[in-house]
Amino acid sequence: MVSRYENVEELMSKFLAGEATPEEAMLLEDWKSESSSNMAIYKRCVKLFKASGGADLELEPDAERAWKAVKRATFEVGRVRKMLGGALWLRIAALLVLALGVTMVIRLFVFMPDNGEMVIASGNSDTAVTLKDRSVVHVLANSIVVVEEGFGKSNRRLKLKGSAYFEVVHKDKEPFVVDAGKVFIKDIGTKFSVTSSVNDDTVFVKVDEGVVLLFDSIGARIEIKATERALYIKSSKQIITPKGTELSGGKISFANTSLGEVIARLSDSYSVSITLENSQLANCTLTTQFENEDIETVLTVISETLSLSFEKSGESYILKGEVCK
Amino acid sequence: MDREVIDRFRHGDELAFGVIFDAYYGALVRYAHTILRDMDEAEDVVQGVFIRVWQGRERLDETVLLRSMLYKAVHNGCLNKIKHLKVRAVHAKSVQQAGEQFEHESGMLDDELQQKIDEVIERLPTQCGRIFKMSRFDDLKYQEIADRLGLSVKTVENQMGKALKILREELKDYLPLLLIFLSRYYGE
Repeated sequence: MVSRYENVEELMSKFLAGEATPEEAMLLEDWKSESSSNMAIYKRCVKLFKASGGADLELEPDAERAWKAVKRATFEVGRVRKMLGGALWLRIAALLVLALGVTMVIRLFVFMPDNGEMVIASGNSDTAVTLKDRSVVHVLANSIVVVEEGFGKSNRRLKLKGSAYFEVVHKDKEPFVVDAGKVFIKDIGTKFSVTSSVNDDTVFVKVDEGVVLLFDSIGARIEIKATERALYIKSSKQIITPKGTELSGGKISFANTSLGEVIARLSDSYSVSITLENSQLANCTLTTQFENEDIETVLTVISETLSLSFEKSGESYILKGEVCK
Repeated sequence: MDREVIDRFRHGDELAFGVIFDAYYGALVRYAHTILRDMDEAEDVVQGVFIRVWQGRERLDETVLLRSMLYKAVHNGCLNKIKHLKVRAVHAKSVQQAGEQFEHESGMLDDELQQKIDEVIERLPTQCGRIFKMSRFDDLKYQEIADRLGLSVKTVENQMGKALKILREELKDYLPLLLIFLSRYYGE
């Protein structure tokens, strides 16, 4: 390891004093990440600076919130977010104006026929469907899931174009496989989401529970465990495992979801603790969706929808009420 | 940063954009924060940079060194912000206020510890101590210190580094305590 120790304090004090050039800032960042002892030295110097009358440079930014703001100002600018009602004819109309380059023939079945392919096309809002094997597929807006013939009997295969969230009931004999076009995601007992980028070249998989196997047709494969995520680039057949905060989130849907499960998912997505004051409330159900909302707004909406109230206590929230309406 | 991710980004891949954001946002905000001394302003500048980079993604050269470009853009963004907000005037005030505040707050630190820090600062070699105080307490830029004392900026850099080194050395036995007190106070 090249030790630039003599110059490190010079570099560090320059950086902390706000005098570092961009190159020097990068150099220091690299030096910090070189080893944990470097990181420790840096942290000590930050504290010294603070103690000797300087600014609090230990503060960390809220990257999640920032990402939401940046998303809104960039690629989410043009998206239409209308909630259509349940009317079937509206969904068909929406489908006809979908500009996704979908060439397959679309037959919209809301109820599962006994045989044959089933197509779930979500239109402008999310759709949740419970499949024959009791797995649940939440098809996000502007996405399509095609359930292959014989699903539940000889196989459990689906084709996905777009994005969806899966809650899979595990069955050893019939693996649940999602074909996202050139890449496959196979459950090994799980809850996971698959998000495709708009140009359909990138597929992002995030696993909430259990384990999922991501593989393509030429031998690349990776196991993704709970809370892990991976990115697959179709054109270059590459698997990338990014680190850091969730990318495909921001949108949360509930369809007749029990309040118990709602708070579990929210606790996970927002990294806060949410509990119910009255355990009976766990059986209330909720159907709604949120996009890029902060947790307090979400809890307010839930409380008003179900005639409950909530309270913040330290870093956790409690939902209160006698009964839901 | 993976070449592939950057190429994806140039072609408008939102997920690649997210990966890049993830990788650099924190470090860039820390950098901006050292210059602007205000977290909100720092985040503002960095977010603005990411938005502009997204908007100009197609014009990016194939060989672009994205990281380098981001850091330079943040640096420029900060300098512009300073100009527009006249942060120096505001900051000089807040440094003064912070200084006063610190006087009160330091009551939280062990008296002995606070004394030790002040002592060490007083005991710095003359030139070194003078420069250090001008930077920390008078909040002067390196160039200003250099001009006032008739020195080169390089010398100022050198002396600041020396000051930090001495502080670390002299206070290393106190540092564990320092960490406990500071973290308790600043609520880590």
